This record gives sequence, structure tokens and C-alpha cells, in this order.
Amino acid sequence: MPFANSNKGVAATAATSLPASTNRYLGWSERWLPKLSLFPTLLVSGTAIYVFIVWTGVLSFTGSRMLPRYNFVGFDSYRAMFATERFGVAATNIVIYASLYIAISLALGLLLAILLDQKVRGEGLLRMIFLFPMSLSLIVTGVVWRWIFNPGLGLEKFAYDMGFVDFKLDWIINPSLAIYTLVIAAIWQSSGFVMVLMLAGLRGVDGSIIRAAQIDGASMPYIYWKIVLPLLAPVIFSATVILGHLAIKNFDLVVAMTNGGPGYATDMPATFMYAYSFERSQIAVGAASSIIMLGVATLLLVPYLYIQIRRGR
Amino acid sequence: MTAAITIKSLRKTFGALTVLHEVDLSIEPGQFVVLVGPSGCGKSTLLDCICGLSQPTAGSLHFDDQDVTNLPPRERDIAMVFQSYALYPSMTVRQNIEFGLKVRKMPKAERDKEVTRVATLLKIEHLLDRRPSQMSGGQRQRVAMGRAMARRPRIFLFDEPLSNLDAKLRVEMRHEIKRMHQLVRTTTIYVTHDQVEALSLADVIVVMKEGHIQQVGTPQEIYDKPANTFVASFMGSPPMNLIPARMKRRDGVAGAELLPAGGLPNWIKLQEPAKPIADGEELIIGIRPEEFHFTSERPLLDGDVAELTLPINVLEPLGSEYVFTSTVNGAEVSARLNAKSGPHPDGDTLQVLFEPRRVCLFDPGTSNRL
Amino acid sequence: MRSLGKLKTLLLLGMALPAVAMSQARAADVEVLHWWTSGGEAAAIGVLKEQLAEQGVGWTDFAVAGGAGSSALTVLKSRILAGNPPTAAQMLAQAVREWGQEGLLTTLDEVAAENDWDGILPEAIQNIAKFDGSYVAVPVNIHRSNYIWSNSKVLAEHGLSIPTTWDEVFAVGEALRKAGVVPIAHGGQPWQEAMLFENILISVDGGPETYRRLFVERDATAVENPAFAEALDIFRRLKSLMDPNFAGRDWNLATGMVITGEAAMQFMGDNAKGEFVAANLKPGVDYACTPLPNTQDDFLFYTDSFAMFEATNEESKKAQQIMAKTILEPIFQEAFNLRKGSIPVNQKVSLEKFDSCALNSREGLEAAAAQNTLMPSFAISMAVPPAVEGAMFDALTNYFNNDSVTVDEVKAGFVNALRQ
Repeated sequence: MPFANSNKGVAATAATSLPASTNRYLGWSERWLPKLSLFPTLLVSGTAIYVFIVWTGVLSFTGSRMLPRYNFVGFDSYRAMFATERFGVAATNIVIYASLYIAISLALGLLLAILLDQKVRGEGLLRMIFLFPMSLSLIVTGVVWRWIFNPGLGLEKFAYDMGFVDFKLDWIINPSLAIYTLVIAAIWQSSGFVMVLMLAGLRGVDGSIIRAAQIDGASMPYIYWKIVLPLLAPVIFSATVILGHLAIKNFDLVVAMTNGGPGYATDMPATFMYAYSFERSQIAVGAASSIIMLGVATLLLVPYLYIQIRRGR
Repeated sequence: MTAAITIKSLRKTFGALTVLHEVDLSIEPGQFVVLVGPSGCGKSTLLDCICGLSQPTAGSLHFDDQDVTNLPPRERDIAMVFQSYALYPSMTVRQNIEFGLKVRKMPKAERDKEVTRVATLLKIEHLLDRRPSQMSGGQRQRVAMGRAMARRPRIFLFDEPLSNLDAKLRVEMRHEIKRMHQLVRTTTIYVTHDQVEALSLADVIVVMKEGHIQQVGTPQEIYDKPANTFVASFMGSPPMNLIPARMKRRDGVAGAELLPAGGLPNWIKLQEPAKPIADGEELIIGIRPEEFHFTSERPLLDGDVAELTLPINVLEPLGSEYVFTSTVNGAEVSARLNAKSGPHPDGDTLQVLFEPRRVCLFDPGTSNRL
Repeated sequence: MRSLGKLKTLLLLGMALPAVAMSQARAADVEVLHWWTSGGEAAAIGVLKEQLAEQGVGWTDFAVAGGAGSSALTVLKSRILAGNPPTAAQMLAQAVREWGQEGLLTTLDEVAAENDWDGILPEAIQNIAKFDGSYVAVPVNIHRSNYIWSNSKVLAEHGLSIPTTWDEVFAVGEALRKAGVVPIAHGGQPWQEAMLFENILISVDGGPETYRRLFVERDATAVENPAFAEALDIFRRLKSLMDPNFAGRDWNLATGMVITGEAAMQFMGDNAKGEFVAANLKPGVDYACTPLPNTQDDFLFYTDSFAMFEATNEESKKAQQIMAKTILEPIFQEAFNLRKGSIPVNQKVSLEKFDSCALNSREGLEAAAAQNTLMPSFAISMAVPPAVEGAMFDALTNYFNNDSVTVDEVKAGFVNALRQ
């Protein structure tokens, strides 16, 4: 920008004294400099994202195993992928995980934000405490929660040592419940973040609206439900998009917490993709699963983009 | 449908800070009461206590005979119009107006009737399906009033409802509010910091300062007989001139020597005060700017007339009047003179007339009126 | 282009030949990708480094830790795709096969012939070091998969001895459990579960044959052998002898439980020995290594090997050959395997300095070789390609961890896997 500005200044003062050609040059640079300065970013993100998306798409239709090969075999990899039970497990898991994670994080974040919005003493400190988990790496979160849920180390043992010998918390070693331990850890990680978003949203709500509704005779829950929540719609929407993409790309938490286990009960599309592409020498299948993930993510994002574009108009 | 309000020894503190000191006030049913004062005077806190959004620290509050001191807002049967209008942004005008009715479980048919009634009254029928964001400030203000009126509460509260409007709309809405009150005759408490609004709207004005009520009275009483120098200077624009002086009778005629002594002029004629004041006692003389007249208006003035010669600082012709400022012994004095009555004055001084009986005297120690 | 390049090289060589003859063919440095980064392993690789240095070959270390080699494999792939392969890379048997298929490995037949690899390596191991009949990798060591590691003190304390039949395993286990000791320390990771299963399979009647047909010949009909179902049954029943917290546990943590006496036994290959050695325990005194019931004369092996990538110049080729030769020389074989816990792959190397476990392994190896039950471990990527292996792991780990999965589902999983 400073460049563009100074050029404009020069162009204006020099208009009378400089030859026409210089003038034309300045006009050109003024027009193209912003575009030119954006170009490297565009180039990098263009290749690093879109070229590789296309490449992945191409690979998914080949018979690539350990290294990329360009022998096209149509939808074989997709067929092979859908035939494996493990992909079914991963797909079911991501649905359970994403829906619970998003819904509960939003609800909990909203609840915390509402509570924190009641002019609580030490709000800054509380806000920091709730937000803190977000600053942790998912690996750390995963390890900590693995310990907490481990029946021989964590809560169950703690309760046992306290004398509650019948207390059981063995979800993480139970194939049908282990997925929920991931949900809990992930919610712990991000509900504080949602809270901060929601709190910002609540702070934007004119307090007199709530007072007006109180005088109108509505109870506080009714006011939040009917009046405040609709006002938070944009915040909720952004939070959903952020949580949604965090859910879909979830990888590190699974690796750190259960590593897909017990068995492959907590496999997710991302860990599935990694296992097939890099450990099992089935790059084509891995690519196919990436393309499916991209497809689902796109389906989820289309409404968002649609609304953004409509709003832009 | 309309209630009397009795406030007794109401006190409100926030921690160590006392916002309202022992406020006593009774309001008759149907009265339009304006609470006025500079910001921080406690008028909004008092309003919050009346509507129940804030709990008084001590004291009691009655609507008619009902003790409402500890009732939540929704059980007080009141309605309020806010400075920011506080319309529910996600609802249409219709939904805004019927929200309170819906909460009170009024059947749909009755609700519709009520919305129609209010909308007709306020001339907002064409706006019913709009959302607040699609309306102008004046329209929103009308909707906010409509929402308050739809419930037919026993008390209306207004919290600086006009301060977000431009000057022209403000005047228009002021008239609208006055019209609505004359129509429904519901007890109304109106908070403002604008003394013009207070004077034009109120049946009774309550002037507040630093958590104390300064004066309660009709607009005329407040204007003509301010209880103290604060009320005198707060109400009226430009404010009442307050000139320090010392009682000094000349030849048995009551009068005061302006302080500090010397300079021009140094003595003005007064009416003999009701309360005896000995010569030499200090006092503050209060004269409203419009009480000054060109000498040519002498025939229009009845009774005793005093004369005063003032040095001219600034003289602004404003068409209908001259606004004239002068420095009298260090104190700034302004005067509003009828332009029709006098030629454009020239020279360094101006001779003006006033009626001594229109002059207020204040005690410089307590600043109360003598 | 290529032939032109070769021609140029030849011409250059021709000009340089007299000089080479005089300078005794100075070899290039070797860059070696490996994942031996832990204490004992790093010391072992240090031995190789020294040996090479004595022969004028410099060493560029390219260690990528983690993921039992899968991280190293990922790095290797990117180097290959970039057209810049290292001189040699540590690989497991199936990876050797895959890189061989890509046509990127160089033949070591010359150095093999010179040093009589056919004579010093067991045949089963020759097979995995070769691709298309040519040596493309140098095996370094031999590990045995079918071992039980037991804490002698714990067993003695409870008046128990090492079980030699499955019935005894369950009886001893039950007794230990009642005494408050974890009978079997297990690590709940797919490969560890697969390793447990493969060893159970060769221990049951008809097991070795089923194993050979299934994992060596990749004959899917072998799942119908009764041995397969029987092994699965024991596999799942063993869970009752494990503590409930095994999910995701690393193998060395499980070994640690045996070392501290928290658990009595671990079913694990002899990589576990390194942990006992590191804890200063003595075989036969503090701990015992015993083959699984009925597998004294069977041997599931896994080996580490170095594969060599096609070198572009003679100097590098020379270095590769020196490295290949050195790896199989007794000095390195002894030094390395003493540290690693495995036994020398060179059968001519004396075991004089080795402990009883190693002697046991060598005995088992010879016996197994004689009765043709020296077979590659499928759990350590010796037998089947990664895709097949992965699908089999899925089937086994699912069966082991989820009691509602039936034997038939595992069979179907294996049949599917072998189609990969």
C-alpha cells in the first residue's frame, strides 16, 4: 500500500512535468502493483492446495500402491474402500464424533458464555481458564485424556483408591464406547473457544433488549431462547464451521488418545487415509478417502459460502 | 388502569457508592412526571428501581396500595421505552408489539386486535411486517412506544427516549408522546437530561442532582421559583443569571450592591425580601435572561421597574431577539431582548429594565432560595 | 540420454583409470536411512560405522525415529520421488519386495557370491533378501517371534513354573490372577495382537502347515483348517489373563510390567530381551525366555535388513559393496546382535559370547530349518504385502477387542485381505 500511495502522489505532481511515457508507466504500476503483490501468495496457495487436490483426485483413479503410478483403473479404489469394514467404521465414527462434538461444544460454550456474562467477579481469569485448553496441542490433550480414562491410571483408579470399588470408567477400552472418550476430550479442548466467541456475541447484544423483554414479562430462559439466540445466529454459524472443519480433519487427537483402538474402533477418515496412504502402501485408496472427505466438507461448507456470497451482495 | 406511585426513603448503593440518598416522592395517578438532571444524578437508577430491574438497598415503593419493592419487573404491570428503543432485532414489528402479550398468553385473536389498535394509534400499520433494521430511528421509536402501549400497563416509563433522534424528529416525537399521554392518561415517568423536554412534557418535574431530589414542581414553578442555584442554572437556556451581591438599602429602598464592590453598575434595586435580610448580608441574585427589557418597553411593564446599565460584551441579533452578554463585576450576565422593541443599540453600554419582583434571591451559603 | 550418459561415464572412467589403479579405488561415503535411534540400537549402528571407517568408507547418518519404521518409509518415499535416494535404507522384508518391484534396488549378487551368502544364510532368509532371484538386501539379524518372557521370581514366589501347554497357561494364569499378579502383560496394538495370534497358530495341531499355506503361500482356503479356528479361540480366551488397560500400550511398557513383577509373562518376540538386558537382569536367573507351548522346534523369524539403491557412480557402488560385506562379517554380526537381542544371521558366527536365550534361538532355528517350520513372521511385515497385512491386522484386532465378532467374520476378513 505505501507503494501504491506514493506512486499516486508522484503521478499527481508529475503529471505536468514528466513525459507521457513515464506517466503511463506509473498508471500501469498503480493498477497492477496490488495484483502483483498478491501473486506470490496466490501462486503458493494455488499450487499447495488446488494442484494437490487435483493430483489426489487423479491418484484416486489409479492403481497406485507404494508410489504414484498412472495406470488408470476407474473407481476400483473407491469400490475397495467402501468394501472395507474399516471405512464404514471410520465414516460412522466421524458422524458420531462431529455431530456430538459440534452440538455439545456449542451448547456448553453458549452456557458458559451466558454464565460468564452475568457480571461474574474474576471474569477475565475464568475466561482465560476456559480458553486455556485451546492453546494446548491436540497431542497433549489426547495424552492427558488417555491417562484420565485409563482404568488403571486415571479416574477409575482414583475412585477405587478413594474406596468406591464399584466405580467403573472403562469407556476407552470398550470398542463401542471409546469414540465417546474422543468426543469428551475434543469438547474439553474447544468449548472454551466457543465460549469466547459466544461471549463476544453476547457482549454485542444491547442489554436494554434483555431488560425490555424482562419488563415485557419473559423469563430469562425464554429471553435467551427467543431473543438472544437468534441474535447469536452468525456467531453460532461461524463456530459451527470452525468446529466442523476441526472435526473432519481430526487426526492428532485420535493418534494420541486411542491410536484408532481398541482394534480400529475409533478410526476416523483422516487416520484411515494416513494408514492406507503411508503405512499400507495403498496410495490410491488413501487418495480416494481424501476425495470423499473433501466432498463431504464441501457439502457442509456450501451453505456457508452461499450465505457469505449472498451477504456480500 | 393507572396507578399512583409512592416512594419512601428509597436508597440505592453500589458498594461504597451511594447513588440515591433517601428519596421520597409521590406521584398521582395519570400524572406525567419527568425526572431531570445531569448525567450521574441518579435519575436512571431511580427509574430502574421503579421498574424493578434494580433492587433498592433500602426504602419502599408502592403502586397504589401494593408494595412492589421486591416484585420482579414482570409482576409490576409496567412498560418501558428505552433510549436505544431495545426492539427485538430478529422479530418483525408485529412480533415486537405482541411479544409481551404472547408471554402473558393472550389468545391470538385478541393479540391481533391489540396490535391493530396500537398500530393505528401510532400510524405504523404499514410497518408491521418490517424488521427493526429496516426502519428509521423515528419509526423505531414509534414501534417501541407501541410495544409499551399494547400491554395497557398501569405505568409507563421512558428512559431518555428521544436522545438518539435528530433535533427535528425529537420535537415531532415529543409532541407524539404528549399526545399519547393525553389520550391514555396513564401515569408516566420520563427520564431525560434535556430540560426543554422536561419543561414541555411534564405535569410535574423532579430535578435531581447527585442522588438527591432538588425540587419537585410544575414546570412553571421550577422555572420561576427554582429551589436553589442548581435548579436555577440547570433549567432554562440560557440559564438564569446568578450574580453575587450584598444587601444594601438606599434611602429605604431595598437593593443590593454587586460584588466585588466597584465597577459598573454597582447597585440594583430589589423587592423587599419576604424573609428579613439585614444590610451587609451576602446573597446571590438570580435573573432570567428574558426578564431584561429595552427601555422602550417600559409601558408594557407593570409595577415597580428597575433600571440597569450594562457594558456590552457581545450583542447577537437573532431576528426575533437580541442575545446580549455582559460582564458585571466579573460575573457573566446574559440577556434576551425583544428585537421589535429596540433600535440596534450602539455604544459601549446598554440600558435595560427589569422588574424587581421577578428577581430570585439565593443564600450563598446553602444556595437555597431565600 | 541414458546410454549417452553411460558413454560419457565410460569415457571419463577410461581417462581416469590409471589414476584409480594407483589410488586403490577410494570409495564414496554411504548415506544410510534407519530407525535405530534408541540406546542399544544406536550403539549397534555405531559398530557398523566404525567398521566402515576402517575401510575408508564415510558414514552419513540419516536416522528417522518413530512409527516402527513407518516414518522412515515416508521420508524415504519423498527422497525417492525427488530422485535423490540414500545409499542404503533399513527395510523389513515386504518393503524390500515393494522397492524391488519398483525397480529401484541394486543387485548385490557379486558381493554375495564372493562372500558365500548362500552358504552362511538360512534358506528362508535368503528368500526374503532376494528379489527375482538376486540379492537386493543384506539381512542383519534374526529375531524369533514365538517367545514367552517370564519373571522367574514371580513364578517361583507362587510355586508356579513356566507353562508348556495351553491348559497349563490357563491354569498358571488363573493362579496368578487370584494372587493379584497380572498373568500376561499385553500391548493392545494391532501388530502385537497379530504377533500373539501368529504364535498361537503355529502352536496348535496343524498350525505350522496352516501358517505356511496362509502367510507364505497366501492360500485363502487355509482359513478353513481347524487350526485357524482353534488358534482364534485361544487368542480371545487369553484376554481373560490380561489386565484391562492394555489398549494402545507399547510393547516395551508391557515388558516393563514383567520386569517389575507387576505381570508374570509376556508373549513377545525377542526384541523384548533388550529391555531385560537394559534392566540388568540375567536370563535363566531373573527371567526366562521360553518358546510358546509346543513351538520349541518352530521358528517365526523377523530380520532387519539394508537394501541398496541403484547408485549412479562406481565409487558409491564400491561403498555399497563394502557395507554389504561388512554387515555379514562375524565382528559386526557379534557386536551388533549382542546389543540388539537378536542372533546373528550369519550361521557361521560362533555364539560363544551370547546368552542362553540366544542359544535357545539358534537351536530352534536349526530344528525349524530341518523340519521346514522356519517361517517369516507376518506380524513384523516379513510375509505379506502391507495392504494384505493391514487388512489382516484389522480382522484380528477387531476380533480380539470386540467379543461380538465371530470366527467366520475373521475368516471372511482374511479371504478379503488375500485378495488385496
